[in-house]
Amino acid sequence: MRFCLDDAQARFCAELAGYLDGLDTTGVVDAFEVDFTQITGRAREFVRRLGRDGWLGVGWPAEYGGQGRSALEQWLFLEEMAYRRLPTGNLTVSSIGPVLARLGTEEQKRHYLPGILAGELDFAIGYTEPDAGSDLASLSTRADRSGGGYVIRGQKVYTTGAHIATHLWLAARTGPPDSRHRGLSLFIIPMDTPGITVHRLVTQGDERTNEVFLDNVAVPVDARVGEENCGWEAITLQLDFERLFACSLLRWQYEQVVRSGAGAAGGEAAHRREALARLGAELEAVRLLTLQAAWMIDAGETPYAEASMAKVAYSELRQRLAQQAMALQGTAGQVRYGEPGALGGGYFERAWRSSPTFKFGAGTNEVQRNIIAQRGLGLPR
Amino acid sequence: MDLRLDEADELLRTGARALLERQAGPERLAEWEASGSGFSSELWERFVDLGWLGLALPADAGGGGGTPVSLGVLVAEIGRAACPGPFLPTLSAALVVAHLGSTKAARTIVEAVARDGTPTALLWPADAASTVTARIEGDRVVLDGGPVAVEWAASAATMVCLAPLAGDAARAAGGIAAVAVDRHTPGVEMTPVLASDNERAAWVRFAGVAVGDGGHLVPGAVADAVAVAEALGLVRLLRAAELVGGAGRVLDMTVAHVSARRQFGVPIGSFQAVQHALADVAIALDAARLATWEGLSAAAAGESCRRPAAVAGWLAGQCAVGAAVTAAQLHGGIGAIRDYPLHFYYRRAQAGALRLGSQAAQLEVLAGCLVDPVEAGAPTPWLA
Repeated sequence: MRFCLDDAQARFCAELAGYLDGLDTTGVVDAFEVDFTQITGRAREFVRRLGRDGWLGVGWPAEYGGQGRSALEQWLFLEEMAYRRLPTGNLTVSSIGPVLARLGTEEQKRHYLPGILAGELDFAIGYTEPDAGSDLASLSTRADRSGGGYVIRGQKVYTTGAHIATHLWLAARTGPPDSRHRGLSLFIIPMDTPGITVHRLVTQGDERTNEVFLDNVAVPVDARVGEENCGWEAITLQLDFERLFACSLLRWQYEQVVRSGAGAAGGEAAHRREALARLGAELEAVRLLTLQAAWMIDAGETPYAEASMAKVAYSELRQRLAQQAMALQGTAGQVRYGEPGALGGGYFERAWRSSPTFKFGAGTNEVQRNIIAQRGLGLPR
Repeated sequence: MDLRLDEADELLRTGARALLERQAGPERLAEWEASGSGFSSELWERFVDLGWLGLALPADAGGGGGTPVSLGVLVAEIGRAACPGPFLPTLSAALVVAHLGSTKAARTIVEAVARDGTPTALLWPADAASTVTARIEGDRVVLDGGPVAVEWAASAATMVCLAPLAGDAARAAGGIAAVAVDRHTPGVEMTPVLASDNERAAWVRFAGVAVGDGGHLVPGAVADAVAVAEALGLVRLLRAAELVGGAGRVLDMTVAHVSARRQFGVPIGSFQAVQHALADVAIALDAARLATWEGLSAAAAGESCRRPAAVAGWLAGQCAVGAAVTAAQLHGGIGAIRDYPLHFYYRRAQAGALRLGSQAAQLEVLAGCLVDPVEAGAPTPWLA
């Protein structure tokens, strides 16, 4: 039993740190912080640079231009980037690419993977609909055969990044209305295809998301990933990737909380110290649970319950951390992000507004707990 | 990196589990708890014969030279069986002395545990407001204070004492006297009491207890604060192993119960309220278990275990108590009945967590490991 990095893993971390230290990241953190869900401007330039230097596909197989590294190293990469608050190409690189590498046709792989790895392509994920959230298998956007392809009609919501994406990764029904998960197919659609309309929605955390309307959108047959009515596999696999490493930034945030309120006195100081000790232990729990899931993948096991454990622990701590950070600030904590005198620029004020998203994104924590109970503990469905 | 137990430890685990299932079943636990001594001397002898008491003590002192990981495996199985006896205090005392001690007295204690399995007690400043203090008078250490509740103190002829030096200046410097106290020394008062769980304790009071250099565990009797903190890390890790061992059994029992118990025509384990409560137990248990093994494997590699030990102690206490509370609720009536074994675990979770010290003291140790370095500008350690 050994919890330490082995020599090769330690070398990888050193190599990554050396590479990042040598980059000019002026303006990148700021551009990314404006809205972490969209990579534009200076942040996009930076992601392209990562792509050119071969650092986007750390965990991708070497045959598709990746570094072919382990899940553990992939996690360490994402963790280091998040600690420096640098963008990594979001879900397109970490989840869409790996799914395409497994389920796409040779032609799809040739067509999309190099562009994703270069940081040129950006996918928005179109699953959720007004009446299909956790019960994704009930979604009703239809893709019907027409001529040599499909015609798609329906509506998606909370399609984050759709307004800047190059492509839509879309789940649509190709089977009968009651076919549940056995009647879904997965499509890749260029966002400039006629019939797609994007409406702006803004979250309480100031992030931009969207409604996407699909009005007789015609796509060719080869826009489909996998067989017809077999899209569920791609959907769940993508969500597995999305969940697995949905754990970052907490270490940086923890350090901000610890360093921000130093100098408190008396009972205030003692209370603060206890609160920080508790948060520190919870952060350790998140680190260990994520490590466990990553290690299991490298050991050839599938961390069904373990990835869900890491996701639940991470997302709940993320909200608690922001809440606790503000509670320690007291009345000053009410000042909004970006306002004059806001503590730490109001970082935690905004983080608090953003924090609910992580608890329901990538599968609600309620669904994760079902997975832990049923797949992990073997309780009846 | 390898998060699995190696083959030898896996064998130790299976062997220990089989032995304890055979010889420390719920009927025996009830018998022992009702008995005068509180534990089975027969089973104790078996542990000694198997070399378990000396498992992680140095080979040149008659021990097995095994790793803290192996010892953790054993202790987790004892926790899983809810098996009572002065096992954990004896192991902890001997480990502390083996880690810190360098005198003849230290060697005598380690050899007595390694060779003969001599029960030994451990008194350490677990609570922030620990009332036992030491002062140096010539070549003697004089202990005063108490009463403090010490696990299995009355069953041990010798008590290893780690006592802060009296006086603010000495305290601030982190001076800790490390001595062995014979329980028959004048000034030692001991009142055996039942503990909340199926272990035993004693109120220990020291009134001017003088320990000559024959009882000093380090030359001059004052131990290095860093070495003491490392040694106490091992103590915390063993307790954490015991607690996660018990919590693992609690989770298994509860999953079995809610899968078999039917209400409204279905197993109650199919209800989401039940599933989510157990999912939370599983998350907390995995985190505490991982923290415990991380600390034990660091110690096995000769690295500092202070930080993971502080984390493991805290997470294990929280998780064991949380698991017990959830299990008691999901079992309903049967869980509270003496004929059903859950009560051993419910009681042991809370009492075991308390033996790690007061909440304030545990959080202070955590803050020292997690908050202070970051406040001073160091990055939060991630993976070493």
